Amino acid sequence: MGQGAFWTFLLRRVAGYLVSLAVAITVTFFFFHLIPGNPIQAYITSLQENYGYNAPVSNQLIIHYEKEFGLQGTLWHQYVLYLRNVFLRGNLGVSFISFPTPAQRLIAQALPWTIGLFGVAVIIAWSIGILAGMALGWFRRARAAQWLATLALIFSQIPYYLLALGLVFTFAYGMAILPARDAYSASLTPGLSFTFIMSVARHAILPACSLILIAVCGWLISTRSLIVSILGEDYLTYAQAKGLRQGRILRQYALRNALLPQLTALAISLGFVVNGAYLVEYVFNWPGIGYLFVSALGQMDYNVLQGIVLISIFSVLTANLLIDLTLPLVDARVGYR
Amino acid sequence: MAAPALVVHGLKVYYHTSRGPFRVVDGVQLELEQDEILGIAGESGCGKSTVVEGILRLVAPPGRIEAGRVLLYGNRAEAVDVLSLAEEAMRRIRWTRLAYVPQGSMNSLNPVLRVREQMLDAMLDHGARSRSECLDRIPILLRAVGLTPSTAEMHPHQLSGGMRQRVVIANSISLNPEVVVADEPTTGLDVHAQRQVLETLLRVRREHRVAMIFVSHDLAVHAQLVDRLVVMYAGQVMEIGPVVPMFRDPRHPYSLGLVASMVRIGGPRRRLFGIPGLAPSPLEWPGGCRFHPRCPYAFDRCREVVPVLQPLEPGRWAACHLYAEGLTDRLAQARREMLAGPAATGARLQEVHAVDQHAAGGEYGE
Repeated sequence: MGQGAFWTFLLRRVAGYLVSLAVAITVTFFFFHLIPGNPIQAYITSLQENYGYNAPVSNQLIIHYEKEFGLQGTLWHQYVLYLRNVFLRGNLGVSFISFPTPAQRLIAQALPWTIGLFGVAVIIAWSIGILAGMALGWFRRARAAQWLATLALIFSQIPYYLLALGLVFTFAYGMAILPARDAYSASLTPGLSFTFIMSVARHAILPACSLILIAVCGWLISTRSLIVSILGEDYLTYAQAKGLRQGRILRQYALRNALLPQLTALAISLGFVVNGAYLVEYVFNWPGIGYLFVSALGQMDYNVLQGIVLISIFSVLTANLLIDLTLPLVDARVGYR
Repeated sequence: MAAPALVVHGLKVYYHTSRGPFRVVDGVQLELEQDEILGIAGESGCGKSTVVEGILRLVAPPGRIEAGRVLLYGNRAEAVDVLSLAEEAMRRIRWTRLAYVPQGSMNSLNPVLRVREQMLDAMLDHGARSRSECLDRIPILLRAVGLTPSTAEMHPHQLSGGMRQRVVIANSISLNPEVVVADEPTTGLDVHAQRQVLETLLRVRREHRVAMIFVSHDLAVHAQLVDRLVVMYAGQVMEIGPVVPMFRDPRHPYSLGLVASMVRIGGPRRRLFGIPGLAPSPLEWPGGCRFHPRCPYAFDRCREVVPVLQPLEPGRWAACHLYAEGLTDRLAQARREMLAGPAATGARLQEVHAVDQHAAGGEYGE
């Protein structure tokens, strides 16, 4: 493979990436704007409910907010305006639910909570799942290993929010040893102090567990079946015939071949981390992206919704691009084609 | 010749299924002599590959080695029984004394490792040499099988079937084993690659003085390569003998059927013969002689009594009641008819022999 082939490959992938991104932005813009409902009416209603705002709704007020929210003119006009704001000014628009905070600031505040919780959970689940799946695959004939694999299969099908509720009832209300809600104690001010970090860690245990326990089972099952099928390959028999040490056979023959598809799957999972898991964040009142999304949806907060979807799509597409670019370095059979 | 290199006694390998045991290998004996290439031939499903798995102790569940001994002498006076060794002792014997050449056009090489790494790991795990000595040895091994040293840097998918097969052969001799067992190493290759592999095997045998068991369903390949041939049928040995006399004059009715069904290029035209009927199932072998339902010469005794391998003349053995009963006239008659006109017989076999000589001396001749 020459240098030229690589650059053609890179160009094609990056072009595809940009096109997907453009299509995604367009689709999300129109999708949210075509949902029936009036955000200005919703905003004024919430003002009336929350702040006792009782003045009659004047046309002037509506026009004022249409301007502020970027909802003036035709849909097409709004779309062009939105694109210009996003690409030229890096501005996702103002948030309706916490007007006048810009949407990107709300998203930026929520993002670390989601990435912190879900990113760590995905990596922990992946590592444990790979190791356990490898062990269960290697000892596939042992009775205990077969039972554990069946158990994992059943567990992997539990919806994670059900497990989350179960954990909350058991550990937060029943035994009352772990907090059920929020990301840190209300009495603390966010900062890099030891007490604050410990508080976050304590609050993260239950949501993380509800994600990890189920994800581990998924990774375990897929790794186990990969290992079992690799153990039936001719090159495993050959490795055995060569009299290699078992450790080497496990590492360099079984695991190395199983790891390649699992690395790709990990990258895709990490791309989806930004999406968060709305239900888990809602159950635990976790101030992440998912929680923000659900709140924004209630008020038709176009700018925040679009911003969140945009960031999710951006991260998934970026993860895919990175896989395409790095996989040939890890697996010699995959070329830059 | 002094002690043999490897002796197999009463080897039985069964596959246990819900329908009962499949008696795939059912009491096989054979002896591999020093420096010889012993061929194993037979139809698909006769158990020849399973014999190899048994000898190498690579039988995987639901298969199990039920009985037998595999005595490895190599070039020593004392034998070890491969089947009764502890795991770690078995691991240490593998590759250093008893190596394996699988069908390399299949997936015998790990797709994610370079050829170099797959040659290196066996040498390192047997701790014979330092890493740098092992690395120095790789180009020598690759040249010995007619590959360029740069092959070491390739991944398996970059090699052709013939190249992969030669990598596998080079790998098998990396620790100078005394016995090499090759299972269908030419199957799935085009004739040109087959030829290269056969020449490589002959060269390896000559230069490294290994005794070799060579399994193939292809009699033409056996004719070019092996010294003696074992003909298997239904999990048992039917006939053993030097390959050229056996092709000229097969003694067992089954061997006769095999030889008569061979296509030969050159020589006079003759009819090809098939063996009537289908191979029986290992779940329910026929009683008595397992070949009797397909044998045109079978008589009462064949249906009841299992024939044992018996010597007919020095070096030639067959498991057939016809010899004990002196009923060989019809067999000899058939042999003459099936293997074409009497005048042609000699010429054809000389041709077989000539191919053998050519392959042995040919391009690598001293």
